Amino acid sequence: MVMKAKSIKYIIVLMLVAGVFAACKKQWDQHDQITDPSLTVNLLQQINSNADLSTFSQYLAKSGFDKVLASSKQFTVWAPNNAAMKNVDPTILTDSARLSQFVSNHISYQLYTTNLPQPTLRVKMLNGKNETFTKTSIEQAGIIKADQYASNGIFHIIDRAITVKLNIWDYVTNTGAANGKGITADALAEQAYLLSQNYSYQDTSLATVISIDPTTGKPILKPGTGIVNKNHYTDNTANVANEDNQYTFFVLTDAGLNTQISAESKYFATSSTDSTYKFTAFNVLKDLAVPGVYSTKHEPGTIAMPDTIVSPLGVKVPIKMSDTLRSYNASNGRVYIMKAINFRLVDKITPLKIEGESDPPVGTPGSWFGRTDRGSNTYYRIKNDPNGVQFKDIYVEGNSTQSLTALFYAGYPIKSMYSCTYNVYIRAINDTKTVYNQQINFGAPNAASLPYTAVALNNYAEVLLGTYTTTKYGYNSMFLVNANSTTSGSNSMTMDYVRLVPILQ
Amino acid sequence: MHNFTKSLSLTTALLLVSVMGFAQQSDTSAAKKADTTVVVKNKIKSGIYATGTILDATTGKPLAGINVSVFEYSAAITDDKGSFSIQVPSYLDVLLISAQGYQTKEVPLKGRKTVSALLYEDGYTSVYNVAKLPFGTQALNTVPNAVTTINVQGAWETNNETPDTYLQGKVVGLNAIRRSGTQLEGADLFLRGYSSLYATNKPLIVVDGMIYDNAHYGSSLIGGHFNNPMAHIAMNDIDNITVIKDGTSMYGTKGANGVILITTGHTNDLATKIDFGAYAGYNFKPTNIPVMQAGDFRVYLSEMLKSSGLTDSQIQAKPYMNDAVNSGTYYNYHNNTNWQNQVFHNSFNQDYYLRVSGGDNIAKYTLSMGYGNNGSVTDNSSTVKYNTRFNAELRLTQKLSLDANLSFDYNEQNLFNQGVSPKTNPIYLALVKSPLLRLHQVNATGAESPNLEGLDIFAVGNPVTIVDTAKEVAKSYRFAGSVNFKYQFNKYTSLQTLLGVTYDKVRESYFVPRSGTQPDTLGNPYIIGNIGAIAYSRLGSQVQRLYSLTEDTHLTYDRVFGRIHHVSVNVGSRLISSESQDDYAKSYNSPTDQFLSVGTGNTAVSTGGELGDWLWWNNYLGVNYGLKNRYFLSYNMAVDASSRFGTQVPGALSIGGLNYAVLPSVSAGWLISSEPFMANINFITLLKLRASYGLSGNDDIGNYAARQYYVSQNFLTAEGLVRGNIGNPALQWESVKKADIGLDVSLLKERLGLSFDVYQNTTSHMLINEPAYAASGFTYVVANDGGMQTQGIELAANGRIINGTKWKWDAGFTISKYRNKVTQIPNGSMTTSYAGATILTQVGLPANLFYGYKTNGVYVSDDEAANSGIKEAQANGSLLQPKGGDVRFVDVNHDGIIDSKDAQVIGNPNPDFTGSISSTLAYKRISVSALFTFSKGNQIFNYMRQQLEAQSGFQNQTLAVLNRWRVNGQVTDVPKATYGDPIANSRFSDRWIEDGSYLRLRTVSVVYNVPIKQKAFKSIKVYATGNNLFTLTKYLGYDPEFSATESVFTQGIDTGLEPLFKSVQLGVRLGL
Repeated sequence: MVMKAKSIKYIIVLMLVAGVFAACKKQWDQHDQITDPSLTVNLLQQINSNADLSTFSQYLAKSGFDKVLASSKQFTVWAPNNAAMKNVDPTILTDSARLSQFVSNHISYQLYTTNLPQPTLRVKMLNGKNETFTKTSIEQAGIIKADQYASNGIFHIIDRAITVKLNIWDYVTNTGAANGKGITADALAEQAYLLSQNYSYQDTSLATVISIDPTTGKPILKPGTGIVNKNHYTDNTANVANEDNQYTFFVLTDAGLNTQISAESKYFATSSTDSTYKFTAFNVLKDLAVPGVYSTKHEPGTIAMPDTIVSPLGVKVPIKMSDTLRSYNASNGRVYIMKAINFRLVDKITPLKIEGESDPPVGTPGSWFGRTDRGSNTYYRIKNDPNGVQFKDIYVEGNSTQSLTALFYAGYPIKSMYSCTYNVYIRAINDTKTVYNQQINFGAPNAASLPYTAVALNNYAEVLLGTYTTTKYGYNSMFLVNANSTTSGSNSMTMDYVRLVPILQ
Repeated sequence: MHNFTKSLSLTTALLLVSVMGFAQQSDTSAAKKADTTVVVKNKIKSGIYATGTILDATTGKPLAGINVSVFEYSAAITDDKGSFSIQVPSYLDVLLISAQGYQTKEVPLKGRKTVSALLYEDGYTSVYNVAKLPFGTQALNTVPNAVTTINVQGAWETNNETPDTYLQGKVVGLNAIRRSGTQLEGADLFLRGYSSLYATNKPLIVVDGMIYDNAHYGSSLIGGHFNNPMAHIAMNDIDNITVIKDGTSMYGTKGANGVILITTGHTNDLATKIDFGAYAGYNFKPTNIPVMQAGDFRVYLSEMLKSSGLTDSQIQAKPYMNDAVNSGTYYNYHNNTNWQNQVFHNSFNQDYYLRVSGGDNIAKYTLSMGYGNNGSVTDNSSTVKYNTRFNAELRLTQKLSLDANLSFDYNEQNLFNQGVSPKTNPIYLALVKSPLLRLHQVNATGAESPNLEGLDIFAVGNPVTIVDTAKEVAKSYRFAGSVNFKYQFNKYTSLQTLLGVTYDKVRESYFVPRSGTQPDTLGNPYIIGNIGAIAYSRLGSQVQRLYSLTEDTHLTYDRVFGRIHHVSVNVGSRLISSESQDDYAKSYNSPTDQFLSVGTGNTAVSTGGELGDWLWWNNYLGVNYGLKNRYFLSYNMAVDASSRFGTQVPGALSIGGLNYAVLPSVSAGWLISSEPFMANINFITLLKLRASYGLSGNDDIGNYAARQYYVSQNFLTAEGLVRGNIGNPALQWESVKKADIGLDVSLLKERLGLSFDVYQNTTSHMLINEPAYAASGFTYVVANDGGMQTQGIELAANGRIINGTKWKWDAGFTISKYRNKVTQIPNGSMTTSYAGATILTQVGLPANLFYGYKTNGVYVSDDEAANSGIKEAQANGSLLQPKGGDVRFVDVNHDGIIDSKDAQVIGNPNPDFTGSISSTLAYKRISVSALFTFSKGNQIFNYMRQQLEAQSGFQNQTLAVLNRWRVNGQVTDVPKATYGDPIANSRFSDRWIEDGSYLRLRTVSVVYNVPIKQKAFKSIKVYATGNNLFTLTKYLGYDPEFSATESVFTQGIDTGLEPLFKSVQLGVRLGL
């Protein structure tokens, strides 16, 4: 009986110990248990187990993206069902590079559930392309079954495969040899211009440093490394090669472009026809890349096409949709090939304005003045006019500490000036008690481009000084010159701004 | 052995001495000369005799040579057949039966002429066990109070305990909650629930007659650490622990929470005796909390980064997302590190203990020394302890004797921040640190350096750096010594004076390195003078000091009149004068991590501290009256004065301008089983009914709260004084009315003992931080405006299930329950907060309820959330619309807004009941003891899990977050991952309240008493002990037992202290 008691006790203890070790695990197991079977498998397993995605899943494996979807990152897959996969161009599926592009065009990082688009969302796919995602669609494909989840991501089943699109830049510079896309014969002039603006340089931060120059201390770079390819046109307008922004880009046919160029080329007269062409072409084309996708079809995420778009450079672009020859849905926007866009000359050849208070952008400080030691005579004023509107100007006067020399001047560089005749207007506010004379000259302080003019007291209006003609497009300079006098008060000068209004022909 | 001060009579005393002598000898196999001198005064008046037989309870065989006596009357010894015949004054007297190696027992004749008695072996848990009470020893069957006594005898089988942790499961009604797994950290002792909100709830500790200061002075620099004064009492030194739960009025305003009397080793043996123990132990690191591994974590991280507002490409640009092996950082971020394995390690313990005792008729001594070096489960944390004790008893003259008890104890602990120290707690860091990261530095090709990685990309420190480099050391020592002079005027009267001194010092040095640690931003510019300074390395130094003098004189008169009236009177006066001091210095940013001392910090050196100085004068009276050994009456009273009391206490006794606390209590006991009418009810050996009612007090009201004081204040680098408080001259002690009714029963020839108690403790004048008018410049004033009540029941049972000659099985069971109710606080309700939890204290409810939001799963979809009509109020008053994946908080008042008005009681940290199951199975020389402890129905706020499932940042989380909500329509109870958790899904709610019930195999020990053949040793015992070997719990944390602080308001809040761990040890005890 005694032995029995002992055995029972041991058995009880053993059972308790065993039970507890099991229980120790169990309390956490119960708490951590993944109750949802979808969360016990990863995205690849989840897709593979879906019979309607067997074709896509087969190409996932072929392209190597199966390993990606099984990895410990988060993905969203827009998986075309088997019916959709049947319609895919078989040449894509047999070319491994294009297949990889194609498959990765359906996968993004992170979770993109259908409650996120408000109402649209641009999602970046693994191939770098952005796609427009709505609650019910991705690009042109409709979502049949949304928000299917797995441990490392979600997938949506879609009814159409999403083809890989070129971006605007690739489209417009594509010679058209490959797969029939790009600008064809009718717009080669624009394409040629865009390509001609390519340049490259060596980026010191990317290049391999061979050694440091002992005298200058600057790095010596290995040739051929760190080369960055860029384009002047995209630098100065919009980077239509950027996948992450959306643009509408208008391409002019050769005829349309030539019409515009011939209308504007006289304002870009230079020493060579070639450079005149380039300047003119830029002036024509600079307003044809506008941010946002304009469309007449009310697609999600697009802006309704108006009859006039104001370009980022402030130029009105008149759009006649009837002149559209064709359009292309690029990965980062829309390309319209237009027969013509008839800009108004007045919008393209625009007045120049030189502010009196603007500092010369180049040269030694002070060298744009008649003397470098008259800083104490020069005032950059911020004042209100009688209407309470603030203006800033330059005002130079001889004062009790220092007089002003005769023919003292302030110079202003002009970066580019159309080749034409300008009406020269000035706003100069003389709020002293003395009327003084001053002169505007171009090219040199003593060029006598325009006559001396008396600056009337308290005149806040623009005054037409006369006309000025330049025959060459490009750089010029302008000078505000005081009276040929050393008498303080009489030799003051002032200028709010000078406005140069081209006389259009 | 000053406990002989009060004795029932010389005879009884000497008998008890002999019993205790046997108790000590019982560990040796060599027979001792029996000290059985019985002083018998024969006053034979009549010739009536009682006869009987004494049998061995185990074998049933007659016992010869057993002493049978009638107090102050006659004595006899049993013959070979175990029978005796003794002359008795009447057949209503009581026979006292005792013998070496057997229990001492009282057998009432109850009118019978013939009695028989069974004797159990010495040490058997019975109603005749002797309790060591304040004025001497007394057999439990005559005590009218609720008393539990534990015959510790050095507790040789276990050495990893401090006295407070040892008490766990040993005393019914005493809930000992171990604070953490850190060695020496001790336990919070709650005897019969609690009686106070802001004053102490600890029972009074009395060691060898001297009150042992168990408070702590100043808080530790080391997060979560607690300098435990109880760690300065070596467990091996303890002979007996007696816990008195009611009728503690003689301790006046320190007795409100009961009294624990500890008696350390004394000898009655004149022969020199040497005991040496050596132990080796092994500590098992805790089971890891399952957190995510690298793969799951990276998926989670993607979601978190996305919700922090990063774009896909920014996320993919993060180095841990770049899977290219040649990226240069591949090896830094493509790992799967189990950080818990890096921080937790198994470790070893070693302990040695030596006790030498002996002496002669004039002087007896007990000298002990111990050394221990104990590891802990956190790497590089350990404890070294040294203890010495010298107890001596000197008979200076025939009438004058002197007892000396001197102990010196030194502990040195290497620690780390624990609890809510999210930047420096290595355990917390190990849980939240990303598994993607690596322990050591690594170069682009994967070659690893021995240097540790520093602060990681998620701004989480390296826990291993902290464990390796931080130096957080607490060194403490305590000298506690007393001498007790006793002058015996005559047989009945004695006077004794105890002089005691306690000197305690804690020195802490604190250094958290710069490398691998997330810096702090220093806050208060007015104090520190550096606005927004960054604290990289943190340095500190602290000294806490206590100096206390005790003087205790009392007069004892003890006499039995006509063998019917037993009167004992003790009147005395006790004066304790203490001073404490706490000084600390903190600084930041030492030049390098090789500079560890506070003086090398460059930034914001600040100093501070506290001074205390107090005096307690306790005048006490204890009158015990026993009638015919059946009726017991006890009256206790204290009249206390204290420097802490205010000068204008309303209604208090005032003498000479001093206010006195007058605290009387009365207890009565009726030994029903000794009544003649019980003579024929044989299955009841003993039946005693007890009742007590009285007052006791709590003087832990702050040294200076009754006065008005000023504190120094640095304002913009100018030093000045500002008012420190609003003095309350009416401030008084808390007073606790204690009522207790108890029943002690011994049945079936003592094989089953039961003890049952019902009690009620009612606190009035409870200390409260009463809200003050804003215009006063203070947030509160300390006042006696609260009240609470604790009711409870207790049941203890023990019995011998198997009582054979080879096999013995003893089992014990205790269970207790208390119910607390606040009866009065200003405004009827208040809340406090700790570690993000809100605790409600409200009239009519228990004092410390978790008060937060109830939840009902997670919104399945955006539509469902929108249709629910619920909005979430933010701290700034604005409303947020919950979406799919947000937690569905319950809108209690149906106003459509989830705000503080929807908070409700979501949990109660007080257990439904606690208790223990003990079992000792002995077979010949082997005995196996097991102690199970349990707690049922207590709820825990799992702060750690809140951090580990908050899903609000880049911290690693538990595997439960794999179930997180991701898409509309997904049904789950885990909300979505959102950076910063703007809608506060992780707020304090019932999601984090868990059932903390547990059943634990607290200790199991096997003792083998090795048979001795050679004479070099007197005894050899081998011990194998396991601690915490298994715990049955549903709690989702390392361990369901912990205590962040002693405060009532922080009970049941798991802040992530070092968990209790499993350990095993082997020990050997040699007796020379």
